[in-house]
Amino acid sequence: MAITYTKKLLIERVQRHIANDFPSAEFPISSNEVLLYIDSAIASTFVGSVMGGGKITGSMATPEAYVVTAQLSSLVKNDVTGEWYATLPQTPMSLSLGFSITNAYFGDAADGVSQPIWLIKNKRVAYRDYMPKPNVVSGRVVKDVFYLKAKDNSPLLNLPVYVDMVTTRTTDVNETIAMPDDILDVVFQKVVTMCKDRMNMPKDLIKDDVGQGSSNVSKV
Amino acid sequence: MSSDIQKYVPLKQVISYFIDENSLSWDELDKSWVIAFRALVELNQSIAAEPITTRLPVEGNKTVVLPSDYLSWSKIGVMDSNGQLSTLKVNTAITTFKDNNPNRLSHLTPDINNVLKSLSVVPFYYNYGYNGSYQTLYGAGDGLVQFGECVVDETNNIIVLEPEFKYDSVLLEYVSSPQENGDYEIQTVLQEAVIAFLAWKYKLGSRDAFYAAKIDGRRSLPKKKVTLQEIAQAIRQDNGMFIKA
Repeated sequence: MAITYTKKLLIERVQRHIANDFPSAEFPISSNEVLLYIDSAIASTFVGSVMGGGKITGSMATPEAYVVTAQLSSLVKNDVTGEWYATLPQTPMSLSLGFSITNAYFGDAADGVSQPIWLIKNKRVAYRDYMPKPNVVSGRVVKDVFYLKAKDNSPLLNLPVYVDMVTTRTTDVNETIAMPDDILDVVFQKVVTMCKDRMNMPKDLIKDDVGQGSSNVSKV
Repeated sequence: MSSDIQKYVPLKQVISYFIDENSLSWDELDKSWVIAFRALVELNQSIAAEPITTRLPVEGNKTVVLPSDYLSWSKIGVMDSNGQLSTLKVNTAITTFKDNNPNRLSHLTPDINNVLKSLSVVPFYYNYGYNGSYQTLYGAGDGLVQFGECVVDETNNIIVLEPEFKYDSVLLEYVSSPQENGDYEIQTVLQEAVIAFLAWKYKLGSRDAFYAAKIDGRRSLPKKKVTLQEIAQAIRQDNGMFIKA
């Protein structure tokens, strides 16, 4: 079993890099703040990775390493719209549904996995009912809520929903990051840059072998 | 025999071919299904429809209500003793006046006498000699040997029969609206036509490419295939001894 890479390790790496030693209690940036930087850096790196890959190959695809399968909480019925809904682990990335959420389905040990839930982009929701529909369960996402509806409006009570989606979040800092190793350095550099901005750290050029009179370090 | 190749293929399978071929993402399933459904409609209206036959009762007002899944008819007739469908004559002169009224027949009060031969001013050559008497050349009862006359009122979804129609039911061969059974299906020989239609609508192909695939599929339809048996039969039926011109 390979060593797993967690956000805790990454936070510590950033703190050591900046403090140049074990971070003390007075380290000016908190772990939670570094965690926020890490989450946003992973997200922007992921979107860039998908877009960049699309430019090279001609078709966009989600790198597998970012994808996590999550079982959603029990479905609840919206009595107004008749839809069933559950909350996603996080708001999807700013790519279209097939890339931010790569699959969704029902599943249990007795029956196995269902046919996929068919996604409806929000821009198509308003007029979708004017057109014929396949005999499937369709889904749409509003913020972090996943709304589901069967063609025949049959109840979806107690059906376990699984979603394969890109997630930048983890339940705690000790959970393995869903990210390929080759992106680690990019994320690290981004986080360090953001920390430097935050701390407004001066970038001193220290040359030990230069005489005092020629040093660029102020004598004051 | 591989079960992966069947006579019919569901639309979900065809759109999966298309999405896979073009490396599209999963969220295109729904949109591509809608477009594939349009391809199904287009192909069904032109070449893919397979007519079904049903027996329909004749109502008291000598009309026949068409089935709810009726799209267009191909044959209207009655059954003969050999199990063959003997078609009725389509007589567009039969009026659709009050044809959905239960008392239609009582409203068919003639304005003129439709037996032209009784008019002394009508020359005999306007009529047609049949069965020892002259019949009119148009209108009901013009002398052709058929078992009845009808006209289809598409707006009211009924077949209108002549007032003297003798039979209790008619056979209708018609193109029906496809019914979903899990998914809509289309003949496998037309799956490339549906894929070409999708490519055209996704701006990845052209109408010409779709048309070519459609013609190609049409030639492969089972009912369009020419068999040696049919050729031999055609030669036997059409062979005759004629005076050379």
